[in-house]
Amino acid sequence: MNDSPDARKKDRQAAALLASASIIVAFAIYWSLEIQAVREMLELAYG
Amino acid sequence: MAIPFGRTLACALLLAVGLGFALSNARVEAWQALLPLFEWMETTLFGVIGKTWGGVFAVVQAGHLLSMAMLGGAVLAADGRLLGVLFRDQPLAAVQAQAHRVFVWSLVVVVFTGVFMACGVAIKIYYLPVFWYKMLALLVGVLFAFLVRRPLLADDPETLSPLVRRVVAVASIMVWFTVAATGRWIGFSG
Repeated sequence: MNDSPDARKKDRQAAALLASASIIVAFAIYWSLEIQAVREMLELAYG
Repeated sequence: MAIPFGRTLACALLLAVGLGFALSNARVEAWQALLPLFEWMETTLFGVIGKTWGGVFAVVQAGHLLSMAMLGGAVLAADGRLLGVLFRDQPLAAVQAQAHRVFVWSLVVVVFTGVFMACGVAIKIYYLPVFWYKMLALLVGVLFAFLVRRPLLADDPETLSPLVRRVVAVASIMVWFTVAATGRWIGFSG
């Protein structure tokens, strides 16, 4: 098993990429759904 | 003996568990089980003060908003530097270290004042979906800041891949923007 500083750094970068990409995708989906809900509400209210 | 890519595997496992929880009936069961806690919160000293004296609630809320502003400033300074758009004449590690100190202190005040405010309106927020989105964003933000972002930037952040730096900065800004926006949303609900 390789526990060199280089391997540790690669692990931290991979974990950061995975976590960040998941956050960006999840929050982009959440906000797009919220914006869609507001648009539908405005269409119902004002046509 | 360390597992290769142990941190990445732990991160993937945590994401899988979170997704499983969100998509299963366990989420609803946990929500129902938390109702007695929220009912009790309204009966605590914080709950009674928050409901009885509007002035105290307003002062604590002002502290909450100011500490949120400080937290947002720390996030923007640190992530702006990571993106290479702010404080470009300052060393990356120095900006990260100083912004993290402000971030930690403002987070402590945000959580403390937030708990006080939540006690005053516990039953109202229990039934607000946006409150739970805020709590989820806060949990994700704290885990991300202390278990992913901080260790990543701990040793020589200048040598990190520019792609990783940018993606981490965008994710961090997105999480804390959501915490702030959903917080204001609670304020304007019901």
